[in-house]
Amino acid sequence: MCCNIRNKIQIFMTDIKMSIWFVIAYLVIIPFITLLMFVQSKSVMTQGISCMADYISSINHGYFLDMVIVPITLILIINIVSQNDTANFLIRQKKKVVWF
Amino acid sequence: MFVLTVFISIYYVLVAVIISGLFTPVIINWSENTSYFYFSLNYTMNISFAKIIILTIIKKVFTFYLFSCIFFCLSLKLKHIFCYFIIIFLLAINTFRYITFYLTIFLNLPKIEQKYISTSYTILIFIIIPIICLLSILLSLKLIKRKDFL
Repeated sequence: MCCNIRNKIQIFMTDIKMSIWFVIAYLVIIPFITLLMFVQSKSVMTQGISCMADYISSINHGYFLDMVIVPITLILIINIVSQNDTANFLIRQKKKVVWF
Repeated sequence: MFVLTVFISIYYVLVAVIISGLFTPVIINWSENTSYFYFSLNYTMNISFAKIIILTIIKKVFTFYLFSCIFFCLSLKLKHIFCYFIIIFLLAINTFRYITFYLTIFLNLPKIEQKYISTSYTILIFIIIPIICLLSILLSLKLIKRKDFL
């Protein structure tokens, strides 16, 4: 089991190494998008005194988040994971079944 | 994939905490009557900042992981571009806000969002999402059969 986990970690690290540019782009882009989203949230918060918790809870919903951040994150996840596992899985599946 | 979503969610929430610090020095004031939270929802709440962060991370993990699973399930049958279309339509109608709203009620977690969800929102989710998904699936099947992608 320990060996299996080590093997999985090794595969995971290899996947990240293979898509390192996506990871770097994500790490750089996300703070800018979050900043934009909070500027938008601040314009809505006109009444009362706003706090950090208001901004944090605002990242749970909103069209800006749904239309920009989640698709970008999905692309990153898919790019990292599909480096190894999905490709092998699809090849195996395509050998067994004829799709359409 | 799950571990990756956990790491991404933690990074995203940490970035959000750091950037929200640039906008306001107050950490949490939801128990006061002068707060934005009170003005928008008409009630106060005694909750710690750490709890909000943990709840947000859980919600993010749930959203990212579920969308990734949907994508992989769909991409086994459809072309990638249509999977993106379907997921973006799902996102546009804020489905996961609806699901997490009822999950917080079911699990008795503290609510940090609005008190109720309107009927128009429910209609959108139960009528528009299935129609759009069905249309894009049918279209993609038709295009694949005609071999338009080749």
